[in-house]
Amino acid sequence: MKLRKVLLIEDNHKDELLTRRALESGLQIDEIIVARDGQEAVDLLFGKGRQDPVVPTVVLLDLRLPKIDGHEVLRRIRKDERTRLLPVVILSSSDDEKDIINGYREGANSYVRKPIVNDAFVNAVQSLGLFWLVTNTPPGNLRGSNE
Amino acid sequence: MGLSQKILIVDDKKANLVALQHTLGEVNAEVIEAMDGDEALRATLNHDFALAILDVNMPDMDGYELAEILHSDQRTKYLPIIFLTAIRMEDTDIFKGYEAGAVDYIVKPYNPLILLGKVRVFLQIHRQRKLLRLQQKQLQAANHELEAFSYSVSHDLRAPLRALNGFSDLLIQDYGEILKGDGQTYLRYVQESAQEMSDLIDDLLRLSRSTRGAIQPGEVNLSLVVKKIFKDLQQQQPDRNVQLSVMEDVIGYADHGLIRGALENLLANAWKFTRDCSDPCIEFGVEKRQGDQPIYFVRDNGAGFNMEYGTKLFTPFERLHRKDEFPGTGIGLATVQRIIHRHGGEIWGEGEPGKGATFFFQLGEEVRSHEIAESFID
Repeated sequence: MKLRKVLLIEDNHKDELLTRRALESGLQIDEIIVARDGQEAVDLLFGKGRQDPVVPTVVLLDLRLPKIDGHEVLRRIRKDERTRLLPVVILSSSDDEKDIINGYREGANSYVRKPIVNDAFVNAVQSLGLFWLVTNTPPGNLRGSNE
Repeated sequence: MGLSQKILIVDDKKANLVALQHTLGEVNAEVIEAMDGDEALRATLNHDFALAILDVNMPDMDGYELAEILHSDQRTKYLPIIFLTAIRMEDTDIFKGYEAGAVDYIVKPYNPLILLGKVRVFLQIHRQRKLLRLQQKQLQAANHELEAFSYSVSHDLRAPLRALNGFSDLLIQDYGEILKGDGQTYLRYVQESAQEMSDLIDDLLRLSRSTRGAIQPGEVNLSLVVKKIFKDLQQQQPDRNVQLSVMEDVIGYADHGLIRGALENLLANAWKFTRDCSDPCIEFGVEKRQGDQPIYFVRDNGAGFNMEYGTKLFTPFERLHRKDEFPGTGIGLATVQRIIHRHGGEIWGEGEPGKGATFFFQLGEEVRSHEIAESFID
């Protein structure tokens, strides 16, 4: 059994709570790691100091983040050999065409606009979790390191 | 002082320069002299000239060579030039190669009044171009600000609404049993209000997006666009039975994305306001009147509106129907109007309560002039 690990990059505490609750109510998840700004996310993914890098099954990425914004976090993930193939889902309030196009251009695996209505939000997050944690097969190096 | 204009005069004979200076004393501009091509080119580095008057016959670099260099330089590419020449130039093809800027000539000995007439015209053009460039800059700055603003709105304004809606939901889920009386209803009102505000934000963003970004016009088959939109509406509400009648292959010259947005709004309105109709029907077509731009229309046989309030139709947030009759934010038609205006066109509506509404619009020629405007202002 592979471990189901989600890295949630989200600065809004309330959104974090809602996302966490939606994920946990629908799925068996081993760990939800939260980064509250772009710098913290980068530090977690690439390992800071003597800390080992975190290897999540999927990254849920907000765009509007303190310090380093979501677009830049994504660019760094794609630039580094270790995280190049990591599944990244943008989970943002914005439906700005620029955000969407740039997100895909930077290598996002999908883009989900956070719905306002809670039912829709819960549905979106749960189906995301189901797909990326259960249905999807990640590339070997990400699969192996978690066993 | 801000619009003080400068004229460059180039002649190898001091006496000619003095005479020219004297003539130009009649116009309100600073005159800078140069005795040869090199000096003239140096002067263009330090001054922004509205006009150059060049003697053709000069040793070393003649007037034509100087003009050639001026036109090849980005800084002076659009600098208008008047040649002073001893021969008539009409039959020569000397003007070839000067497409980039205005060129004129005067035969010596010249009539000062004719020279002044030409000079004034060029000064006027220069003033207008400068003003245009200034306005363009201000417009760009305003656009930039608007873009930053709407970016912030789309990201930051929605998050609190999600919290309002989400935590109300959690309250009902987790503590619903201990909420007495109208407690649950009040929470539902909180949620509905959050949803309403979210719709408003989305519509406002759509409105502001309809006026930003460059227009990319081309030929669009409006009939196909209308059919596609109608299909989407049917999929959203399969229980409704609305007839669509579309004139085939109606072509418009427009920005595809923007005009689709406009038609989406018009059709969604027609769809919405035929709700209580026994035999709902939406029609799209074009009327062609001789010598005029084609008039496109979207017609429905729904609730209609009172023409007395017609002027309110296109004002953001203005509604002609009560919210409990027909939902909506009142921003849709404002968005349509902005889109049509951006195409240099017009839109107007006709209606009668209970008998339906028709929205007519024209697309102007102006969209085609965008490229010209861009190459001119540069």
